[in-house]
Amino acid sequence: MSQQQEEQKAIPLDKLTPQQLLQIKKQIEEEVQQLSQSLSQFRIANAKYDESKVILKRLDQTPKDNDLLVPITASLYVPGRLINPQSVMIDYGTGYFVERNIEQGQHFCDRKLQLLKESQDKLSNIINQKKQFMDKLNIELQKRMLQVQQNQQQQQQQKK
Amino acid sequence: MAEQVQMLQSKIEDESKVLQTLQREMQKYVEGRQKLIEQSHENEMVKKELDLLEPEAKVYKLIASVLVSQTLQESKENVSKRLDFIGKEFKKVEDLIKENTNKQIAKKTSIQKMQEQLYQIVQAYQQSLNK
Repeated sequence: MSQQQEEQKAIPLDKLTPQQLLQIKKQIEEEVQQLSQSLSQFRIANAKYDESKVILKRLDQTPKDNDLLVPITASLYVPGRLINPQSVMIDYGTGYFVERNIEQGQHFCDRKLQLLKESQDKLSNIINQKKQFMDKLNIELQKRMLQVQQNQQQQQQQKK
Repeated sequence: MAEQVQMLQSKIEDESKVLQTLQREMQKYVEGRQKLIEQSHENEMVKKELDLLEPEAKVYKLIASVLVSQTLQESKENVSKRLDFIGKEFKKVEDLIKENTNKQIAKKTSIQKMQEQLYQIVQAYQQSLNK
């Protein structure tokens, strides 16, 4: 879609007034900012799944009947015992949870990380395309400014 | 002439208000559409994951702070139904958006025509003054 945008605007790019070019540039800048924020949210999600995998690994090595503290509220813990370290409950989304073993949990995290990576790559591509378009806009704006300067110089010379 | 001008101006104002209402409506439709897309994605992901499970897998559904046991079959059906429902709602919203867009275009055209009429009346009056 951004190729279409480029073609739609590359053809009359010379015919757009500087104000219009500035407007488009502002718009694209805002879009790039929003997309970059989304990208950093992706990184956070990535970190969470990586952390989950590390925790699963540690859980695997934790012996059964290990003593632990269970959080009841944010500041209240109750002593407990780890009955089944091999079984984990996974949040699949839309309110569904599935009981799986540790290996299946790790596979789940891997699949999610794969999805995240694909989406992140697509997003990076789009951001790059928009940045390239902005570069073109900047070049065009500089050309216009140069033209204006040249015109002014010519006018001054004519007055002499 | 003054009457005509006033009439046109108040008509233009009224039509502009209607246009603004249409635009606010459109905003809501677009937001709703976006939410439906998000929900559709989430449910699709859950469906894919459920398809990977063996039939004896223990599935639970969160119903108001309680995890209730479900069979895999039940869960799959439930998610499918949700996806169908979301699909239907999505189509409804798209139709509403289309309708709204057409209404907005019609309003803008009529406002433009009235503004042109107004301009012509004022022009004609000024010319008659200059003679």
